[in-house]
Amino acid sequence: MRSVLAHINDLGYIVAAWVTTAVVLGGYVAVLLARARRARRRAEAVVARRERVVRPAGRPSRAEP
Amino acid sequence: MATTKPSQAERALGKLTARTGERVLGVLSIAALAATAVMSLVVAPPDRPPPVGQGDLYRIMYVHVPSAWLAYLCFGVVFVASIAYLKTGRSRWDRLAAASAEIGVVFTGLAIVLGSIWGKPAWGTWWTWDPRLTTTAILFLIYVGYLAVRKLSDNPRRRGRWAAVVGIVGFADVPIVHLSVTWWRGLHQGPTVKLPTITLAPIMTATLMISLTAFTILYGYLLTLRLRVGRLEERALAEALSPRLGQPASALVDQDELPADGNGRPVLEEQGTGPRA
Repeated sequence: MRSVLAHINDLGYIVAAWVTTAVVLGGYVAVLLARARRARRRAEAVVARRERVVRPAGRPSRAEP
Repeated sequence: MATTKPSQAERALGKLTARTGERVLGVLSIAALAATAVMSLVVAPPDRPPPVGQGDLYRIMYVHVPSAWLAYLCFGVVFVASIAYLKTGRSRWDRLAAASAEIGVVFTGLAIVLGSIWGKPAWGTWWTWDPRLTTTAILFLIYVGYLAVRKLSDNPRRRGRWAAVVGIVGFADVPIVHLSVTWWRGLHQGPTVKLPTITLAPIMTATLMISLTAFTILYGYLLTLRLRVGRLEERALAEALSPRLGQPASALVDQDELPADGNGRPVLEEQGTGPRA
């Protein structure tokens, strides 16, 4: 009985270690992907804003039909 | 701004960090980590039962040891890239060092936490001032300091130089961490794999090698992803600055140093948002 309890106790630590690894690494990848997405959107927003400023309102650019 | 021809090493790095390479590494990482989980938790047999061995508890080794190995690898890359940056002055080496340092801090932190989870049932304590644990904690703090140094200056060149010096000097702790179990007596066990002697059973050694390989592939993926983040963040900043500087954003992204204003201060300091690699 004692060895069974010790075994279950060990399993708890093993699960904790593997879950910690998965959460930390998965979380880091998610953070990096979010940072990449945010940076791309920021760059695109700056370009779009600049184009609106450069182009007079109501006049289509040359690229537009 | 004059651009110089990239070296062979830089071209190889460019190919490896292309978007396709990143995707391939991502898929390979998932497959290798899945194989590691199956081998570690199902295929590998338990150790001898306590008090002689550790029973199933030793399975934590398959994530703890690769995390520590990756920390060494990451800081080794920081060391080499820092030397290359000081020698050539090219910002891509600085970006590589910054990316690798950040990943190294994540893995060092993970190795410490996993060691703590293993230490509680094995030693009866979450933490002790054992030489291996203490030197690893110092290593963690050194590279957290490295990342902090990168925030100190908005001048990319100055920031790169300071960080490179910390990256080179800080690497001195890596061999100390590795040899601490040989130099001083403590609770932490000696090296499991010390060629040509391996104290593990062949199947356990094979599982450990698979785990080390999987984590190394994962490092490749994280590095390419982190480098892309660095490039995108620089591009976002360059797009924002290009009208003020009267230069196209593409010309600003790969510059080693952005132009200074009339008082000789880097233009980025006015904004307070230097490109964080």
